[in-house]
Amino acid sequence: MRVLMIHGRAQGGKDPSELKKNWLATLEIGLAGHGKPPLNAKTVDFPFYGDLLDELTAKASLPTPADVVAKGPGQNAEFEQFQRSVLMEMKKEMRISDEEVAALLPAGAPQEKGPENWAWVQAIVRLLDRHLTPISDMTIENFLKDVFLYLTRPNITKRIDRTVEAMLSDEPTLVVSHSLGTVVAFNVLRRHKAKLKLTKFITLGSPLGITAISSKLGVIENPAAAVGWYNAYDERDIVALNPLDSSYFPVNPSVMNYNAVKNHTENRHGIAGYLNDPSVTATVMAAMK
Amino acid sequence: MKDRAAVVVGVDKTGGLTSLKSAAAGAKSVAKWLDEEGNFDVKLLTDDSVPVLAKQIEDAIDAFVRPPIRYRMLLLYFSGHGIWHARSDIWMLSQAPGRSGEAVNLAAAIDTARYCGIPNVVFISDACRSLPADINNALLSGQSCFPSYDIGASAAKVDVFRATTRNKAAYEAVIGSQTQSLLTKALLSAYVDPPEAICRKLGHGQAQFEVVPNRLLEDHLQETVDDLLDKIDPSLQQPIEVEVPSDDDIYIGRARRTVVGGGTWIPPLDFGFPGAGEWDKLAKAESWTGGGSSFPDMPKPAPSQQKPRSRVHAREEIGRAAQEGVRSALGLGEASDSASGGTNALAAMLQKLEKDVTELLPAADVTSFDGRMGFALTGAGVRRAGFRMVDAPGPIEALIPKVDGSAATLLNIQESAKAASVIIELDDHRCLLLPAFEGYVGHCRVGRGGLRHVSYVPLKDTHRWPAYQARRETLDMLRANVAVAAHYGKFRLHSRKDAGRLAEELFQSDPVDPTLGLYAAYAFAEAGRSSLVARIRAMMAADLGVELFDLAMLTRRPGGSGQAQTEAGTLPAVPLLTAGWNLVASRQMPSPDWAATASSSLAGSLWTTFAPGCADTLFEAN
Repeated sequence: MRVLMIHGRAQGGKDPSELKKNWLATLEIGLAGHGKPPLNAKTVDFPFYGDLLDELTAKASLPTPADVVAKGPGQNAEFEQFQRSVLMEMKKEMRISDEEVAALLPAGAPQEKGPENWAWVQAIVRLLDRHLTPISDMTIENFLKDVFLYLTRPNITKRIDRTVEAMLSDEPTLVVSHSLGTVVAFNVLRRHKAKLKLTKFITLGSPLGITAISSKLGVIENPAAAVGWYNAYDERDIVALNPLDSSYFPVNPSVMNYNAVKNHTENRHGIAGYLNDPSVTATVMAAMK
Repeated sequence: MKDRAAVVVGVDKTGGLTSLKSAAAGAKSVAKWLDEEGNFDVKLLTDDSVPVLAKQIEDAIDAFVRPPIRYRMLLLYFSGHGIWHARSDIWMLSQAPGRSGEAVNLAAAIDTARYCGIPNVVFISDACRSLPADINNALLSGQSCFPSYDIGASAAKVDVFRATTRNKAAYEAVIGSQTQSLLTKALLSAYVDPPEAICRKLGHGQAQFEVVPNRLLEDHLQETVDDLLDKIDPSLQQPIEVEVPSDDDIYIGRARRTVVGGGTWIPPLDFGFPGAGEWDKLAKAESWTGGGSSFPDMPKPAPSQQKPRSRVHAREEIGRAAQEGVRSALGLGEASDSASGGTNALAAMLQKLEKDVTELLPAADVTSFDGRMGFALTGAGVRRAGFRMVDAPGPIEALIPKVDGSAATLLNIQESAKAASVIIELDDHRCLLLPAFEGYVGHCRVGRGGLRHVSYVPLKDTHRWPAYQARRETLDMLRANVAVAAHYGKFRLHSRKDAGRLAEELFQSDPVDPTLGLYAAYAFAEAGRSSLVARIRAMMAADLGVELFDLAMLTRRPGGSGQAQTEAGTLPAVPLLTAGWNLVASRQMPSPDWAATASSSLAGSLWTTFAPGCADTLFEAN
C-alpha cells in the first residue's frame, strides 16, 4: 500500500523532503485525533515539481491585469480571456457587487463599455486578493498564471505530469492532492486509471470546480469511479471556489464533497489547514485499510 | 450519465415553400433511434405544433456544450428545406426565408463546433443544396447557432453527412406506405443487419459489441439511396457527400440484428453481450424483439451486401480524383483511376479534371506586363477597373485594361507601394475585389460561376523570381490541383501526415506562395491546426507587407478570441475566398457596412465574386 501526495503551486525553492515531512506531520495530528499512529514515511511518495513549475512560469511572460491596463489588451489574448473568465466567475461566487468594484476605480473616470475594461478587471483582482493575506505568497495573478500554463501548454503539462507519473506503482495507492496538484492528479489518474490500483482519490482545496479551468480539461470524468473521489474544502478558500458537484463538475459516479473544513491558514487554502481535518484524516484512514 | 448528446431537428413547413411530409417524422425516427441507443441525451425539435426557431436550436446546443465538457460526441441532425449559398449549406427554419436570421449556416456551425470541446461532432444534413431561387433566399445567411466558450481544448473531429452534392436536390418519397427522406431512411437502415464489411467490433470479451463506424458508412448510404431512387424514378440522382475525419472506432450507433419472430436486437450498453441466462429474458421483452419467443444463440451478421455502385456521380468522382491529384502532387501517393473500375465515364471525368487543372495554370505567355503589380485575366473581359494603394487614402484610381497577345486582359499598376486593393467589373457586370501585391502578377481565371482561381506569380525582375523559377512547375501544378480540389470541396487534410506534407511543401520556399498559403490556411483551419495558420499569416504578412483578411480571420477562434491585433489593416476588406464569408460573423471579424448587403450577391465560385448589380456600391465604398 502506498500513498501518493501531490502538492500545489508556489512550492519552488523549497526542500521536497521538508515539504513531505510537513505534510506528514500535519496528517499525523489528524490521525492522532482518531487515536491512530502516523503514516510510515517510507510508504509515502512525494513527487516534487515546484522548481520546474517556477522555471517554466518564469520563461512565460504573461501579462497581469495591471499590465493590460498599462499597455492595452492583446499581449496574450488567450491568457487575457482566461483571466477574465476566472475572475468574473470568482466575483460572482464571492458575491462581490459591482458597487464594490466601482469603489476601487477613480471617481468620475470614464469607463469603457465593453469586455476590454481592464481597469474593472484589475479592481476585481484587488478585491479578491483581499481575501488572501498580504504576507502570503499566494496572489490571484500568480495562481492564474500557473494554472493557465499547466492547462494550456502541452509541454508544460507533460513535464509536470511526468514528475508524478514517475512515482506511480502497481501497488494499491491512495492519492492525496492539493490545489493545482488536484488538477495534475486528475490528469494523471484519468490517463492511468486502467492500470492503477487506486484505493481513493482525495482532493483538497481544488480549483477543478472553476468552470474556466475544468473547461480546459476536455471531457471530464471520475478517474476513481470504482473506489470513490473525496473532495474537501473550506468555503472561505477562494481557490476551491465551487464544489465538484452536478453543477460544476458533473461526473458519474459523483464526487463526494465535504465543505466543513475550517482551514486555519491565513488564506484558508494552505495544506496545513486541510490535512489535519478530522474528516479528511478519517477518509485517509479508511482508504488505508 | 450519458456521454453523447444529440439535437435533432425536423421542419416540414418553411415560410411559403412546399410543405414536406417526412422532415418532422424523420427527425422523430432519428431521435427514437438515438434514444434507444441508450447513451444519447436527445433534444428533439419539430414543427408539429410550434415553429422551430434558431434560438431553440442554439439553446438546445448550448445545454450540451456549456462547460465543463460532459459529452464525447455531439450529433446535429436536420431534415427540412435547405439551399446552397456562398459555399455553405443553409438550413431553413420555420420562419425563413421571411426572417433572414431564421436559418442555420452549416459552414459557420461546423467552424464553431470544431472548438466546442466535445471531441467528436457529427452533422447530418438531410436537406436540398439548391442554389437560391430568389433574393429572399439569397439574403438568408443563417447563423451558426453554436455558442462559443473559452474552451481551448484541441479541435474536434467533425464528421459531416450531406444528403446531396452542391446545387442538387435531396428527395423525399413514398417508401413502403410512408413518405420518407432518402438519406434518413438510408441512415436508419444502415444499423439494422448491416453487412459485415461496414461493421467493426469494439471492446473485449463479454463486453465486445458491434458498431457501424462513421468511416464505413458512405458507400452503404449511397448504395441504399441509389437503390431507393431506382425504384422510385431511375432518372433521379442524389449523390450524397460525406466527410469523416474521425477515427476508425467513432460511431453513432451499434449494429442491430433481426431476431427470430421479427424486431431487432440492440446490444446493450456497458456490459456488451449479456450472459446466456439473460438472453431469454431480453428476448421476451417486446420492445426489443417484437414479441418473438426465441433468441438466437449469437447474432449472426448478414452476409456482405456490397454491390458495385449503381450510379456514377460525376461531381463526387471528380472531387475524389482532384483530391488524389493534390495528394500525388504532395508526394502522398499516386493519383488513382480505380474509383469506379476504369469505366469510360471515369475516363471522361479524369479528362475533365485534367482540363480543369490545365485551365488554372498561370499563362506562360503573358509578355506585355510592364507594371510593378497587377493582374492578367482570362475567361472574361474587363468593363472597368480601379485601384487604391494600400497606404494612400483618397479616391480610387482608374486602371486601363490592356489585352495581351495571349488573350489575357492585363491590369498594370505602375505605382510603387506594398500592395493595392483592386476592383474589377467584368464585361457581364460581375465584380471582383482583389489585393495586388508588389512584384506579383495575379493570373485570374474566370468561369461561368465566377472567379475560379488566382495564381500570384512573381515578376521576373524581382527578388522572388529565382526561387519561384527553381520550383515553377511544381508550384504551378500544385496551385492548380489544389484549386480544383478546393472547388469540389475536397481539399482536406485527413491526417497529420497530410498536414505535415503540405506544411513541408509550403514552407519549403520563403516567401510562402500567396495562393498556396491562402488555400492551405483554410485547410489547416478546417483541420484545427491553428499554429500552422498563424505561421502562414506571419510569413505572408512579413513578405507582402499587408495582412490578408482571410488569414487574420482564420487565426481568430470562433467567438473572437485568438490573435486579434491587426484586422484594421487587412486587405481586402472582405474574404478573398467565398467560403470565408460564412465565418466572418462567428469569428467576429470587423467588416464594412456594404459587406452585409453584398453578401447576398455572392456567386458560388471558389473566389469571391459579386453578382451583377454590386459594382457601383463597390466602386463607391472602396
